[in-house]
Amino acid sequence: MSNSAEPGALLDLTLTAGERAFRDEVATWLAENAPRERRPYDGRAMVEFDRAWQRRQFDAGWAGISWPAEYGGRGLSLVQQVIWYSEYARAGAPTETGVCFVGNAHAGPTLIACADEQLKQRHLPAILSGEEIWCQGFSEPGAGSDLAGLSTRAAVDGDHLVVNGQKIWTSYAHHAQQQELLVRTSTGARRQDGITWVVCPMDTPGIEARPITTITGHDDFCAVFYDDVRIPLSNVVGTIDDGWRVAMSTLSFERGTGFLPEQVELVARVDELVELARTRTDRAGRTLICDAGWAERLATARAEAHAVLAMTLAVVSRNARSTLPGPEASMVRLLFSQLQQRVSALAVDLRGLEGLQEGSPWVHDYLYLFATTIAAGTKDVQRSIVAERVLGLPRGR
Amino acid sequence: MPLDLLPDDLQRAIIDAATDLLDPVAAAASLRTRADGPVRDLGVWDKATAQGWFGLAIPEDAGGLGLGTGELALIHHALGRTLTPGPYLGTTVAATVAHATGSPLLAEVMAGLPVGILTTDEPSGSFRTVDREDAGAWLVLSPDRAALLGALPAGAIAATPDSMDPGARPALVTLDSDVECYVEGTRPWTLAILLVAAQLAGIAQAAVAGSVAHTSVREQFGRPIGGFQMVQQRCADMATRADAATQLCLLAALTDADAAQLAASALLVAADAAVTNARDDIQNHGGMGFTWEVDSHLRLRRAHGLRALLCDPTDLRHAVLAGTSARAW
Ligand SMILES: Cc1cc2nc3c(=O)[nH]c(=O)nc-3n(C[C@H](O)[C@H](O)[C@H](O)COP(=O)(O)OP(=O)(O)OC[C@H]3O[C@@H](n4cnc5c(N)ncnc54)[C@H](O)[C@@H]3O)c2cc1C
Repeated sequence: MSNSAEPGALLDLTLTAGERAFRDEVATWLAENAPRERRPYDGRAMVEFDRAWQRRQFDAGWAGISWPAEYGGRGLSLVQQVIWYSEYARAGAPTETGVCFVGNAHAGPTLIACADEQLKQRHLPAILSGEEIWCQGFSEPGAGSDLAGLSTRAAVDGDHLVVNGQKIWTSYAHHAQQQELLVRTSTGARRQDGITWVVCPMDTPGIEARPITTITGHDDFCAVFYDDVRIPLSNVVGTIDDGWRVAMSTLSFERGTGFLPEQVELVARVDELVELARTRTDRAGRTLICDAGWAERLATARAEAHAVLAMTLAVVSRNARSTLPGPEASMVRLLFSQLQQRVSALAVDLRGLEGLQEGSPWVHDYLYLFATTIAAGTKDVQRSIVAERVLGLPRGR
Repeated sequence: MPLDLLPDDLQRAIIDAATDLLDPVAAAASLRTRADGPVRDLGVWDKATAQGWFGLAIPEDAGGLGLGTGELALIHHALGRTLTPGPYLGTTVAATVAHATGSPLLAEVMAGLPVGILTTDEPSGSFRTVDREDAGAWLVLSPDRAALLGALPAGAIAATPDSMDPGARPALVTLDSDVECYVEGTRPWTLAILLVAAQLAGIAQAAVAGSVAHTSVREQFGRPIGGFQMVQQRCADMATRADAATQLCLLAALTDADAAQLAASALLVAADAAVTNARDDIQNHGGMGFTWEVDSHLRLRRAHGLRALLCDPTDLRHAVLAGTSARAW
């Protein structure tokens, strides 16, 4: 009996000789170059760590795996991309949402899809080399899940936009050189009309980024204030008032492929916990894995991590057939984000009192991962996307 | 482009042919009547045989179609989706066992000789089956070995109380002598686990379709109930479970190394998806969901039947937790 599909079938996971060679090349490079030390949680050390790692990948030609070669990318195939991500996760390379995340995972892809040549040339190579750190100025105090309710205003004055207002929860705004900024340039018939997507240099006079301490005790995000901030019109991506379309492509990248390495990595995280449960004992000296309660949580976590991997591959397979990730990615996000939280809770729970040690990686992850069902669209918003755009149910609200 | 989880043209054609052949309305009607006798629809069985379903993964030089486990998973997904009853699972796995052992039964099995599954019943030392009235031959199946048997003497099969799944015809089978023709190996069991998972994933998907169809048209408070957020969120979770189960079954089907662990993962995820989705689908239908006439309960019944068919939750957890994680490629 053969358990593998015959060669030639599309629904197929067999790698060609060339792809196997590529996998080995990637694995070797990562084994020698992925940082061994744990990523610092905060401040300059964190920024330097993220930039140095980005730079090392860039210098070796591994940054922008799927980006066109003319902007410094590798222009590699979908298969090679997936191989890269899975070897990356397997090597234990850093998968935290680092300071280079926005540039790599959604600002860059959005520029590739929607920006003019001049903006692409200026920013894409700088993103890949780690020179430019980007942040995302979408959310506002009055516009979170309801992004179209944003009210930060921009008026056209000569060849500039003049921005006034406030953004919030802007990750790493205090470390960034550039921002993907959504502003309201007019009030149209629909609230989605009259929004503009513009590249905002963070050193422009009139911008103030005030760090906000998060649940983990670190300064990950900021409130950002804009007081007569002048941005050249040539920084607009797409056209004035047409930013909603551009923003939707940004979000589709963020939700679609932005978390691929973490999704692939989750299997290894669960493996560590299964191993931990094989060695840790309860007070009576029995290994934890012999307990039906722990075994059920671990087996479910491992099986669901396998499911996330499979769903990720399906999304990638779908992406290969279109230019923008489709709404099905929201299903992966829904399962993945909640599973990440269950796995990080297991990592704390399995360790008993030791599990509560402040400053430990597992306590940090447990707290940090509350973000995963909030950021990039809350789980409730993701469910609405699945209901209305995947299943075609009547519109709610 | 080999690394791909979406079906290609040939595979789409297989799915379409299965969808054309399998009639969920007729299947549900026959399940509802709970008539005595074989559960399989003989017309459908013959056509499936003619399309080569039982030799799908048998090499061409042995008379099969030379396709793979991925294609088998697609067929079984369709069987689950349409609630088609009958010994499709036993017959499919039996063909692979017959091929691996060079059994003379191979040609007959590929020609539609229905094969029932016997699982060992530890306490009694005899065997359990749910294919009481459909089988012309038997496949003894356990996690590490399998055996093919011809027809059994009538006295060997004793009916046990009906199952809540009307597609099942349970019985206890007692053999006079020990089974001697075992082949050692985990592959038949792994394939069976995987195909049960695929059927369960199909049930989970059918429950989503049932809920979407109903909640899109049923109106309350002057609008379709599918526009209410609580209903939407339930449907979104159902869709996510069904997709997780379906994609994982395909991944497991396409993975050679550590296939046993991924198949067990697929069964764990798919069994939960099928039972939970069937339950949610009943809720989404309100009073209608509580009726014999609506298909929702038939999916619930089959989901429970398939979940319990091969192994219990403890064994399944052990299979998932064994070793380190499977590497897909
Ligand atoms: C760690 C982190 C990093 C972030 N980084 C950035 C960033 O870099 N740039 C940026 O622009 N934003 C960022 N965000 C903001 C994030 O996008 C928003 O927090 C998110 O969109 C939710 O908006 P909100 O906080 O206003 O919550 P709200 O929208 O007020 O939601 C509160 C609760 O109400 C629920 N809710 C709201 N509306 C509905 C509805 N229609 N149906 C059902 N339930 C609903 C939500 O699901 C949630 O549970 C970040 C957030 C976090 C946690």
